[in-house]
Amino acid sequence: MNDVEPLIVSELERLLPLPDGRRADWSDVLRRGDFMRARRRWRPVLVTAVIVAALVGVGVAIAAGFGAFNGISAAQRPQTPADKIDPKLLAEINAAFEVRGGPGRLIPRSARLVRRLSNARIYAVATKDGQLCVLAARLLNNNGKFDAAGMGCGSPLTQSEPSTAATFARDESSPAISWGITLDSVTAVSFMAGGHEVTVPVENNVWAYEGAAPTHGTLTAHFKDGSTETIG
Amino acid sequence: MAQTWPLTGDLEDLYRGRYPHFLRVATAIVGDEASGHDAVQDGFAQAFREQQSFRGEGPLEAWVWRTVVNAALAARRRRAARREAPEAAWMAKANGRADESAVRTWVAALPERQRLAVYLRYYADLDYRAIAEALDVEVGTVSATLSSAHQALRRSMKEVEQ
Repeated sequence: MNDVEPLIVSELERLLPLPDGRRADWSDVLRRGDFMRARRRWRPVLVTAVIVAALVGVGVAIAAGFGAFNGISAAQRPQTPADKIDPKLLAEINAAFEVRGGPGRLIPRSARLVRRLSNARIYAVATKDGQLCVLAARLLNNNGKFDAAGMGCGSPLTQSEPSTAATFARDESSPAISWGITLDSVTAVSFMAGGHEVTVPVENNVWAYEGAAPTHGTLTAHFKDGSTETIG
Repeated sequence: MAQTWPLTGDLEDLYRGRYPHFLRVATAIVGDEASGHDAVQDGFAQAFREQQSFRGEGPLEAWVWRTVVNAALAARRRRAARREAPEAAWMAKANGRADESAVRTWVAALPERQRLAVYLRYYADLDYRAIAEALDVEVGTVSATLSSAHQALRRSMKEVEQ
């Protein structure tokens, strides 16, 4: 502090003391946000694919799982207890969808844990209108409770849109987590982050990267046959 | 590539954890606590609605501060159109000693950017980088702005002493 800062701090404090939080009302924030949303069109957070209309009609009853998981073998299996998402978090997401006019409600029994990171869990979840959602729930101090989550939803994956991609960065003190789910045929993805190209391998349909947030709006998927597809 | 989506939980955590600080800054800008609360609510609602545009290149909190400060400035403009004097409103509520305070004189005389930087620095306890994000200026500008503000206070103190 310089010579005048202590005076500034004490006098400003006296002029306007820190108020208490009695007026705080989060539900009012959501209502106001909903009002704003009603005047503007919501946009999906994920790269959209072009065949959504065809898949929506198919619904979610495809043999081994859900239509939204087509081409994602890691999610094509019966649900186990480990796949279940905290009901409170699910309710919060569904409430956010309703307020924001997002995709249809998440189907709890569709949730599949597709990757465990040291500090996060990544799930694939289908929505009632056939969209694919990818949820990253971050664990606080690895105590099993989620402290934050990021999610993106979009149309099921296709050959031209073979990977989802999202980045979550809570603050400067913690590195960003970027993640995505890919088709079975994708072996790696690459993108620009921190000033250089990063290539991340895909394991069981999932790639995850902890570090600088991707800076360019494109992602390149690398296929088993050596070909690539750039999304963005 | 998809945008970052800081889920509702993140914004809600920030809101619940820092609401008094947001309210204090908004009150200082707008002029009274009720209007300050309105500005905070509108600012967070805006952040909630626009959360897809947050790309994680800086702290979430600084990004939200920008929306709240903008909401408060808009509210103040509306008050000004009604010929009200926002700064005087909350200062007048301070006790009598404050009326003679060099700091009160100083705050009232500051140009807007300096005053906002002062509020964010001393009422919200933000660092220079977060202030820069919130005001959409360079970090160096924040440093120079606060330095100018401090100089102005030194002058104001001398004038009061005389």
